[in-house]
This record gives sequence, structure tokens and C-alpha cells, in this order.
Amino acid sequence: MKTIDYLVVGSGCSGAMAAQTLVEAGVKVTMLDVGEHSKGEFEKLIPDSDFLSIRKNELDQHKYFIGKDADGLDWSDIGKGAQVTPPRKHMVRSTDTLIPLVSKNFSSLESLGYGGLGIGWGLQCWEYSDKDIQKVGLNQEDMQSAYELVSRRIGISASKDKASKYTINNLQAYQPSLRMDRNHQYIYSKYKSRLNGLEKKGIVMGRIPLALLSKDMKGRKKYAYRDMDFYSDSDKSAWRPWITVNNLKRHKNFEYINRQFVTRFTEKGNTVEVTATNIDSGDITTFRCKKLILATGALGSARLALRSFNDYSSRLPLLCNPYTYIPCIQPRMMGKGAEAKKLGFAQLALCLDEDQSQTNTSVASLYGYQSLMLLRTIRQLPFDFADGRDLLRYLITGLVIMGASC
Amino acid sequence: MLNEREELKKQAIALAHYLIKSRPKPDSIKLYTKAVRSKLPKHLDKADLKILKLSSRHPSLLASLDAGLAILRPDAELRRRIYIMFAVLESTPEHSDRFLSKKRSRLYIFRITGIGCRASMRSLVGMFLVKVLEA
Repeated sequence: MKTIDYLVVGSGCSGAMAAQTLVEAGVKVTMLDVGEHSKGEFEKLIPDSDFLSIRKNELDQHKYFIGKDADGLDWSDIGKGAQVTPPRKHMVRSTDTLIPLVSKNFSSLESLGYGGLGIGWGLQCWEYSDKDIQKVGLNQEDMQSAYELVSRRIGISASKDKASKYTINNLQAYQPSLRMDRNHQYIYSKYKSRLNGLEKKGIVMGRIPLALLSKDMKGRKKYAYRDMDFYSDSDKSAWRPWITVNNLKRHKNFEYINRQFVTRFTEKGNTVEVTATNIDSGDITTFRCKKLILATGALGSARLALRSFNDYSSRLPLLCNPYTYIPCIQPRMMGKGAEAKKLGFAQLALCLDEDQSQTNTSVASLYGYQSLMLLRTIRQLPFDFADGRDLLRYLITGLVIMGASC
Repeated sequence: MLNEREELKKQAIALAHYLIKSRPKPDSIKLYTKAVRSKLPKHLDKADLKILKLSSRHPSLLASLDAGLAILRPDAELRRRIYIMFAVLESTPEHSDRFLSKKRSRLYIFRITGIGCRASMRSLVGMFLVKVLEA
């Protein structure tokens, strides 16, 4: 058995960034990953066109909007991947069997996909404030340089505005923000006209930093406002961890081994032995490494560590901010007709910092709603489907979903 | 007596007529049939069966039953089936105009009020029907 210098488990955001840092430092890195993949079926199907043109012209659109056999339709609202579109379903594939989690009051979202939860990530890149970093005992300068490095690698579009101290803080390396859609432009202009009063109450609004390019960068194209963000990554304007892992595969000091489900590790002197099961053949392989980097998510890493130490009785506290979706209607924007060129990701950040301390801030992201189609909201209305659709067709252009975290 | 496939085909046509006032393409019927057969439970409770039977005999009651169930039992089997047909139709280019956001006219507020009133009426009738059927 050969000894690997650095073994990274997982290909999500953390795994990809850790592996890139090590590969660039010149050390040998092996990444073990289950690597569930879409098998390329959707890449060929989805044309490089905007959402509205696709809706009006593409005969095969049901295959990526609702699934080939309508298998992407999910009647439940919660649960693993209920909101995930068919081209991103591989993000949660195999999780029910390999990493089941049963709870009456908590629904986890974990991934064994190539790129981890980054496959369906909404691209928001909020920085912690200096005070938050201090409070948890991290080094402010180290964190700042890490933020700069990550931003240069993945490409973040952002703005210096009233909300900057909560969103990008001191970040220097970023591209200009993308153009907001009509609805968000209106909300932002309203906010600006009431700036003084709102600021006194500790309410600020600004652009959300997104891992989405407004300028071409390293073979990736700038965002083309196609509003197909929930279905396609064809121009790679959105950073996904698999983009980094694909690039790393070109390096001689990087090896990617997929279909490996890591089950436990054992420390042996100066080395660590890692046991993994091939999820197709069931073959068990042991890897030996000098350093092990677990990048399998908070739940995955905890599960793996506990199992490795044969600890099946400890109860780990799970800290998690409550997150709520609040639908809001902007009456002036109702019935404005669909927008052909539109940004599908979150566009505005709303922060409430009543004591202006930057440590007890409630934050919310504002999203527009178009490309997820009516079928995902219609069931929430207390109306029959036909009338619900007629109403939604007027309401949808004025609809803003606020994702609030307290 | 129709077999299950024919029954679902007939149901697909009735649901499409309810939702878009026109006959669906054969591909849409096929997709609906496939989705219903693969996704939905084979054993239905009595109330669901009664509601499905009534909607099949009297498709004109679909809107009211749908509206009543939306309030009383949003997860009812009929609602699930309408939802599947809704999704199938929404993802076909022929019908995209019926599902994309609508540009308002000057009188759109009356139109919205009208839709709201119609929906409320349907809900009242539907709730009565569902209560009777489930009694």
C-alpha cells in the first residue's frame, strides 16, 4: 500500500478549495469522492438559449423542467432535494441509502455528488464581519487573505454599498455586480429614497455578492442573463466546485478517485488509514495517507469521525440558523410581462442590525421568481389550479421571495 | 369497463380541458399516464375514489372539486393528478403562453377581482361537494 501525502475526502466547496491550495503548493493530493454525476444527459439536451425562448420553442423541455417521465415532480415541499430540478437531482442521489438521516423536526440536505452541495448552491458569498471573526477566535488577517484568495479563484461579483460591511466587508478582489431585474431595481430605488429613516432603524440594503462572473475569467464566460440557472451551467459563469476539480485533474500531482464512499479512518503512528467502499462493486479499499482532510460537510464529517472512534452514543448538538422563505408582492410590478434577459439568483441583501453592533444581524436575500415555473408555487395557493394559474400569471412579476435568516 | 390505461387517457383529456380548454397532444397524454402510474399510490382511500369517480363522470365539476379540496384536503389524490397534468402542460411549448406571466391591461385589477370571485364561488361549491362525498 503506497502512502499518499494528502488525502481529501469530498469534492464540494471545501474539498475543492483545500485540494487547490495543496496542489498549488506542489504537494501530492488524492481526492476520494462518491462523485454522483448527471452522466452528461442534460448538457446535451439544454440549448444555450434564454428561459423564455426555451419555453416557447423547445419540444424536449419537459425532460429538464419536470424530468423525462415527470419523475422530477415532487409532491412534498420538504425533504431531500424536494426543490432540486431534474438536472441537479444527482446532487442528492444515493444519500437516502448511504447517509440516511431520520428526524421528526429536521430535514438535512447532504450530497454525494461530484461537486457536493455546490451543484445546486445559490452562489451567495457573504463574509463574516470583523467582529464575528474576532468573537469566534479566528485570526482576522488570515481570514481576510483567505477571502481574497477564494474570491480571486472563483470570481465574485459584488458592489461597495450600504450593506457592504455585512456582505463583502473588506474584500478587494471582486468583479462588478450584475444587472438587477426590473423588480429588484424598483425595490432598490425605493430603499434609496428612504435611506435615512431606514438606516436609523438599522435597516440597510445592498447587492449580494455572488460567485457569478460579470466579466470573462479563466475560460469561463460572463453571465448571459439567460435565467436558466436552476438547470444549466453551460457557460460556467457560475462557479461550481466541479469546475475547480476538473481543472485540478490536469495537474500531475492530483489524483481523483470516484465511486469511493469513505466509511472510517484510523490513526496509525504518523499516518492515517482510510477505509472506503466502492459503491458499485462493494469492494473495500484501504488508503494510507500522511494527512487526511475531511471535507464531507458538517454532518458527514461528524458522522465519519464518530464512526471512526467507534462512538455510537455521543449526542452532538447541531447548531443551525432558522431559515424562512417569505413571499412578498410588489403591486407596481404585477402584470408587467415576462423578462427575457434576467438574473435568476438572489439579487439584493437586506440586513437588520438594530444595535449597529454587526454581531446580531438578521439577514435576508431577495430573489425574483420566473424560471422555477408556476408548478412550484401553484400548490401553495388555496385556490383551484386553473384560477391559481390565472392569478399567478399576474402576480409572478411582482413576486419577490425573501429568504430570511435570523 | 375501461382498462386502467384508457381510464387515465380519458382523465388526461378531461384534466387538460379543465386547465387549458383544449385537447392535449398524444405525447402529453402519454407522459401524464406514465407519471400517474409510476408516482401515485395504487390503493386509494374511499373518499379519494368517490371524488375521482365523480370527476370522471362529470368533468364539469372538476374546477369546484379542485377548489374545495384546495381548502379542505390539499393533498387529495385528485389534486395530485391535476398537479401532474398542470406540470406536463406547463412544460410543453404549445401551451407556454398560458403559463407565462401575463402583461396587464388597464382593467387588470377587475380581471384579478373576477378571478378571485370565481375562485371563491368554486371553493364554496367544492367544499359542499367534498363534505357530502366524504360524509
